[in-house]
Amino acid sequence: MRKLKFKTKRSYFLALFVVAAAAGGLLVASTVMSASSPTLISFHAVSSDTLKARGTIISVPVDTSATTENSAAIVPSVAAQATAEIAASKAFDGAAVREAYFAHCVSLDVNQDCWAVSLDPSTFETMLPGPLTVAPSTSTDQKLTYLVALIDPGTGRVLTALWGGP
Amino acid sequence: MRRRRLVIVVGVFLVTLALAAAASASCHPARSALSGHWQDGWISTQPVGVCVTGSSANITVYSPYVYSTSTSSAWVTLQNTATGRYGQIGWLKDSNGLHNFYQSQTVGLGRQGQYWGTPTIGDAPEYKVTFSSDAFHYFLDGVNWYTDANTGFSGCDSAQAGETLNYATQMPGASNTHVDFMNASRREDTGWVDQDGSKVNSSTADYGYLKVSSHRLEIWDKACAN
Repeated sequence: MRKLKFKTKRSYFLALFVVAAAAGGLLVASTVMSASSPTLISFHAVSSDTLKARGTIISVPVDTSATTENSAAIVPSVAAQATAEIAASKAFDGAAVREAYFAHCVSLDVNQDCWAVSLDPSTFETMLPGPLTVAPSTSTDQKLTYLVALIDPGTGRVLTALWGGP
Repeated sequence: MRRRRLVIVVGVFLVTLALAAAASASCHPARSALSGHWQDGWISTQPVGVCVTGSSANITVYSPYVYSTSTSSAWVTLQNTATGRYGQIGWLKDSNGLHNFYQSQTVGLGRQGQYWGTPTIGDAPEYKVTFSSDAFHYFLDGVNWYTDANTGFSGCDSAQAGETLNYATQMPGASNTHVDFMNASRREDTGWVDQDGSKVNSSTADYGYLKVSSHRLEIWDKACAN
């Protein structure tokens, strides 16, 4: 291996500065990227891209000691997940739970750690209002393919819920 | 003397409590269960070639009785009555309580909606939906909470109503506590004008409807006193 030779001390320090600056730049870039690009969570029923397009970011929490409505420290255990799933199902008249993740949740007025629970929307879709029906119309309500409830890990309360279809 | 004062204070307290309870009371209307879209409201249908691009009202928040797997709601909507496409915002009560909600059914993005927050019973927040640049904009008390873009929507009617998804569920309001649509308006090319709609009522025997003025509508469930 050839050793790098520098003609002057000045060129040595200049090279050292360039290398240090490049390394520093890489470090800053990776930090910024990891801060601005959280790992998003997708569900089988709805992708993270679709949710993101709707302004909802569900991502892997950076700090698992959750900040919740009652400021209690939450450990995302199997038991806690089961409790959240029961709360979500109960809130939607017994809808079957498809998936659940402990996540950091940002959506409308929500910005906290939560349980993001994907539910079967087939009952819920029959409970939603529609347009004012003056006379029989040719339209039919479009089917829902997903229902996602964001549950506060401390209180079990539904923070928000969003639904959609094709 | 002191005893009399105490009685008066307690009396006032109890009356206050009773009034508060009445304002927030849910009432079982004792009707049989029957699924469907039961509605009570008004619609401003436009002549061909004229389009409305906004619907707005301050809607009283009420806590109706909700039958299992059903909801009761009050909302403003921009809709295409022929195709059933729409953008809608208001409050909704399900078995999980009261929420603000928006919902769209469009060509571009299919059906989507969300509920959030808990409106305060007795308040009358302003719910507003507008349509511009192919997008629905949903406002609550002047705040644009959500924009549904690339909708492919074309529609012209402004509708404002209460709705239940089961006949056994209470329509928003009661005989002594009507649900108001105040400052009810629609947006035309020239700006906002009074909603001044035509009556739509799924069952006049069950649901009260009072057009107080061209910009104020009151609805209620006749089976309930408070």
